[in-house]
Amino acid sequence: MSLVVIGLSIGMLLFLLAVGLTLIFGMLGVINFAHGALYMLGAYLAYQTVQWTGSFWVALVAAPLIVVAMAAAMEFVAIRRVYARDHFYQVLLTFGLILVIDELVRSVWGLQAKLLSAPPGLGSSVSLLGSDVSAYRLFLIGFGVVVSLVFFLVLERSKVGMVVRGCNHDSEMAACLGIDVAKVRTWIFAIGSGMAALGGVAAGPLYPVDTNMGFAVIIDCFMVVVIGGMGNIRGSLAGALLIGMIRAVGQRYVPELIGVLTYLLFIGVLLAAPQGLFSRRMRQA
Amino acid sequence: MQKIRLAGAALAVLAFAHPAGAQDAYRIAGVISLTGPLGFSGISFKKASDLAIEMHNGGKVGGAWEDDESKPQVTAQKGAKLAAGNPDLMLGSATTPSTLALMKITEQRKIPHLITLGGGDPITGAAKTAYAWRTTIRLDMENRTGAAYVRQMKFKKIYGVSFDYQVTRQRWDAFKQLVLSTSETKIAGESFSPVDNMDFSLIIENAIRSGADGFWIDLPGTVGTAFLKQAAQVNLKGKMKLFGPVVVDDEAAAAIGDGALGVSTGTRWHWSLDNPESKKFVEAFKKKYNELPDQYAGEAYDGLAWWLAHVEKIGTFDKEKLLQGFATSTWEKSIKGKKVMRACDHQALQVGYWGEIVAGAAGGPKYVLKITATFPPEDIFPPCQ
Repeated sequence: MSLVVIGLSIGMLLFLLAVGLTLIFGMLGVINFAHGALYMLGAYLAYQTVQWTGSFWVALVAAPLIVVAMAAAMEFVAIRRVYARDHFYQVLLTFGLILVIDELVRSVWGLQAKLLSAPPGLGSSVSLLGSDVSAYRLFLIGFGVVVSLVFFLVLERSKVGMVVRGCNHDSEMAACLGIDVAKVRTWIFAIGSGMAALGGVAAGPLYPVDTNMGFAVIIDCFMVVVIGGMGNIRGSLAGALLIGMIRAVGQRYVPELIGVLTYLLFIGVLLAAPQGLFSRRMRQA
Repeated sequence: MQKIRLAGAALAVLAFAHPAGAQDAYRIAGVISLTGPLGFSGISFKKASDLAIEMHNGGKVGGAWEDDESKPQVTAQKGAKLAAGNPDLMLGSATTPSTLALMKITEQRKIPHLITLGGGDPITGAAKTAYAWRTTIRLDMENRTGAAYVRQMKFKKIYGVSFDYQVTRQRWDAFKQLVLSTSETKIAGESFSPVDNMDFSLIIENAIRSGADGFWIDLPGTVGTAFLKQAAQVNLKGKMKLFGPVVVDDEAAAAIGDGALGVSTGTRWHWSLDNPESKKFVEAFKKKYNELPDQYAGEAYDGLAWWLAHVEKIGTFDKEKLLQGFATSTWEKSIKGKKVMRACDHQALQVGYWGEIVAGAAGGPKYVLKITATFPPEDIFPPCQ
């Protein structure tokens, strides 16, 4: 039982982080290497919010909102200038953003890791079918389900989602129909970055809040996006849960092979379904 | 005072009262990790080294530092750049691979190399050089202090976790052998975590299922912090005693929270030690930097202070004479009481400390490592090979 809970919690955390990248990479075509740095920034902002307010729940809302605002500014000032450019320029620009965010964090909070605790009531364990599982991990699973449902409903069942999908499929036609494509792109980048920050807040009670946390997750994020299919929220969820379960099973039985198993899955998907496991084939004519 | 540069290869000079000879200034250079995962130790190292120069020279002088970004290949590049200026002393680095890379350069250039942080056994073992001398601990010493703790606690069974990495697997094997040969304690199980893994929940569950009453955690730095945070969420310390070679200190405990209370660990030094030299250093550090020194600062300061006192005593800057004299040097003013250099392997013999995280006093750090045992050098250093 604990293996399932742990695998799901790892997967949900990865989903929270990767769904933002799915939006940005899948819908804007931008390779955003700064996604991990925004995840880290979210965790630090959450730490500071807790220091000021004493509440993890306030931090869970405030930190992503702050990053949404910052990311909107980043998109307006820098990112939108590279949409039409080669991916190489996007990589260079977003790598530069990593350095800026890293230095900002270091100068404000220093080099020592910070403490972000689980909120009261979620800091202990729960007995489930003979195993002690962390209450916070159960919360993560539930929270991840709620977030995925919200994304699904908004993107697939709402007018806002229709506009976003329209801009993704054919931005010129969307513009002809009167949609402000530039504004939609700003919102996609901002919300995607906000999701990275949300992932950072959610990860804070489990992992140390330190300046290296972003590097540890960015590769996993890109793998989730590729496995699930670019721009595909359902695919992100499935990809994240797959990787989460592989890590959990690996930890239990063959911890030294966790990396190998994960990359084997990634290679397998690239060979068998390079468009992603859940991408739909689009009609060409 | 010289500004500290993170790039560039120029050397700063240290105004040093030298009784004779053409050279007036003693030149020190250092390659340390000021950024990257080990940046926190490098910053401490640099602050303490600057303080050692200041306290043992009477003037305000800076050193020339290069940042190796916690990467051995960068250590080699920056070390070569600094070595080209022929400094009188080289310091660094933080990790064993970086230190070994720097040792090759200092051996080639015949530059005395003082190792005040890197603890890997090969540094004074298989990879020993004529120019590299270590004033800090050896990592296998931590195995011995840990095994002494196991005997003291009379554990029935212990579980162990370490990185899935050759050096750390070997260290665990050596620790297991020590425990099995010197106590009645059995080994309940072991896990090896990939170096980039930060989720330990199933390893923790494996340990609980093993029925162990002690858990040896050889996961240093932020990885150890992640482990203890996750262990706290299932109240692991309520089921077994958590301990390890360098699993936690005051700063890590602050990032873990109450889950760090009661965790036992080895440490190189602690600011609370009650001896005059240690107190003098702590006061000076607090006055200069408005913070308490950590164990890396303590070791960096002590090693360089020893060397500078040795230079004063020998009365020459001649590198070969200094090295010859250092081989039989004793440091009576160590912040750890006393250190004695061992000529056979260039390793300073010194005491080992063991402690436990407790709640700090009002007005001080929230969590403090309380020293609970001190081990004499003869108990924790193996004889020279």
